[in-house]
Amino acid sequence: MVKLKSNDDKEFEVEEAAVIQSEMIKNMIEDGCATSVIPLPNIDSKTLIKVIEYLNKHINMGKAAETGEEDDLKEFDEQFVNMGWEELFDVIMAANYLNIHELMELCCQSAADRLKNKSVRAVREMLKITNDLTEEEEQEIINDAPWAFEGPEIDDTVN
Amino acid sequence: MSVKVGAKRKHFQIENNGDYNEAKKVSLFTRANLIKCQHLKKKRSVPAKKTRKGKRVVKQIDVDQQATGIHFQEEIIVEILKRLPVQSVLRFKCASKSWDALISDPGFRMKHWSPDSKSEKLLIRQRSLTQRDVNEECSFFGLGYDATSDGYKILKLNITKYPNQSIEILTLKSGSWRKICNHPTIDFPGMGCKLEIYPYPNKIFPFDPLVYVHGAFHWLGHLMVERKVILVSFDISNEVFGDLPLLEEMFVRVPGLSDISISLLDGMLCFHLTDVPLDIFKLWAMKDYGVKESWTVLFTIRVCDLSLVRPRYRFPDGDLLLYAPGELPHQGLNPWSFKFQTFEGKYGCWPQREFIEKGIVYTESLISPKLVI
Repeated sequence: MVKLKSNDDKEFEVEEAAVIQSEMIKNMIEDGCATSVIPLPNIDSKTLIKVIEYLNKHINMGKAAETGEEDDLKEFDEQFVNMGWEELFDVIMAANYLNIHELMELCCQSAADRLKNKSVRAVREMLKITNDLTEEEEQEIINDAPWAFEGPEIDDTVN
Repeated sequence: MSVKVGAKRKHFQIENNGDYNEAKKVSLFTRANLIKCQHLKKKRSVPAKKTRKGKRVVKQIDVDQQATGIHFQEEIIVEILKRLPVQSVLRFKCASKSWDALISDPGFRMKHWSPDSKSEKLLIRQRSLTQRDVNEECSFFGLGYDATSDGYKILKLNITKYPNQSIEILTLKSGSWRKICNHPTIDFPGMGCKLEIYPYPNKIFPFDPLVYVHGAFHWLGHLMVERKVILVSFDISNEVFGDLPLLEEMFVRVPGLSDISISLLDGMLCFHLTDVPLDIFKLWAMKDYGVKESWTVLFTIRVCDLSLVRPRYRFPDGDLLLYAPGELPHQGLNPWSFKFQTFEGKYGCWPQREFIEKGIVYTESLISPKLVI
């Protein structure tokens, strides 16, 4: 068992087989740096619980194919990314930090699916981007590919 | 004592007391504080202009830390942006200066342009042709992006005037056609000389496009003397001809009554054989490019009323969209009665229209021909 500690000082025990899906922790274990509790100063307990849920489910990815549990895993993944935008972004940052490749892929794809049809204004708000372009610069970008800014599918809502 | 880990990704210094990953922690905290700061501003409903001013002050406090924070975020942004369609990515250039710079960056354009089966789309082209056009238009074309010269090239196999056929190339940057040769040649064992490779004659599908994959154009050729079929390749960067291995069993049993061709499905070079006397359509895919042993039979279909089939698209569930003429050639082929049909029949016959010409599979790219001319 490996002990992980979130930034709000909560400890979680995770099976080694599950936790080594994180390249970062795997490297720490291999280098003998994970003898006691591993503090994760960037991840809060709420996000860490989600990540551990994912790691436990994906513990034996290889076996899933043999036992025909692929569909089950696919369904789990679909349910897993069904979370709020802020929450999803927290999980992406955690997955990136812990270097969990499959989780990163899954969550970034979900983020991309949600952003796909968003308007520029909505994207700025969702990703907390401050617009520092002048009106002229903005117009120039629009003029380069006006077709990218048109269409009934463009969605201005933020969620 | 410190230990270096994370070989593949980033190098962090790890201290024995568990206080590891110092650099990254700092950058994350900087970013977290920044977001918090923005949230607070929003809650107080400060006008947008003031918020921006506030952020600039933060930037000035510690430029170095801020820079790492942005870098970290950019890594994630790239991961998300590369999964978006071209239309969305071009729109999001308008988000901010740094997004515009990131998306316009050649490195990002290349990252985004990684054709895979997921990014393939099917385009059904509708066009009305007369018999006269067909006679005049006797060239095969292929379009490809050459990363070495950062430009598009179009290859043309001109088969109009036999025996004065030629192979020409157009580099979009230069804007003019350049003749490469009349025919590529191959050393033939036992002959002691080079033999010319002619394009494999195909009267039914005179417009089969060249297959572009793995940085090279491909087409089927044959040697007049040996009736041997050759899978020719032409490298887009160094403009050198080559040939890829085929299997013995791919060779036509009854030439003239059977049909062979190649296509690109799921990013793999495919070879297909329609054995008309046996009513069998067989499709092989070359799973590892250039490796003879990797040719794998993906489909064997009894075609019945569909002869001379062309695969056009592979659906995400593996089903195949086929394109074929309606009647057998010896029953009097009407070249316009082609139809689409799926292998497993889930989608049934696609609506037949008078002038559907063919389906084309394409991938989106951020590398606009306009940009690289």
